Amino acid sequence: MEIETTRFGRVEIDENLIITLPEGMLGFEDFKRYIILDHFDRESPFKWFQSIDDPSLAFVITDPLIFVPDYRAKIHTEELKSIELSDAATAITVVIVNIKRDHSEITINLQGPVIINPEKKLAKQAILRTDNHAVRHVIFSKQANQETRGAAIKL
Amino acid sequence: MLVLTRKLGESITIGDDIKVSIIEIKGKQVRLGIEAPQQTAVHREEIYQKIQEENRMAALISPVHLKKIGAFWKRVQKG
Repeated sequence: MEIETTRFGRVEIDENLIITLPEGMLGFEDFKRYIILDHFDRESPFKWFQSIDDPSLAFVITDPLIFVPDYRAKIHTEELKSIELSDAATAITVVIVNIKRDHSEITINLQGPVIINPEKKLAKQAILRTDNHAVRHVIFSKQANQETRGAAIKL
Repeated sequence: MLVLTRKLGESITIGDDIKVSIIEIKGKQVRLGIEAPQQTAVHREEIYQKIQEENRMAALISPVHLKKIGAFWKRVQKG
């Protein structure tokens, strides 16, 4: 099917790849259906999470493990009932990317990951109970000192 | 909004399976104990608000922004 998007115009998508968030994203509860789109460069770890229901609504998502290799989104299976996930090991976890308006910092939200059930094409934005995950985990900073930069380059 | 007065050690129940108890009162701080089923998400309100706000900001990202992000990624990979 074809969908209308503000950023990319009309885009042809495979209906079978539509992901439904029964509860929507936090702050955008009315919009339930999304599709993952590549952004020019297929090799890029950053993808668009484009709303089907609102052409102007899209998020940039990425795999948190690329930036935080020991990241674990601990969520009780009971909390994932709405996405019919019986085995947490089959879930795909992505995080929302943010960029400061002055482009000085790129962050990822580790506290509110999106958990996808790839078989059922259902997903949910979870809120981790532990407080040790940052809503704005910096993955790039212009002001970063040499040490931080070094760590980033090790990727 | 329903407003109830409770003393230390007392509690309220919400529905059949949620219980909120007053564990400790210290000046302006109140410690609450919450018993709820596992599937009920219980969070401090500010965490909800923080993530909502973060989502709203993230939803403003344009392809131009993502190009910047992509440029950063290439730099990291080269490094």
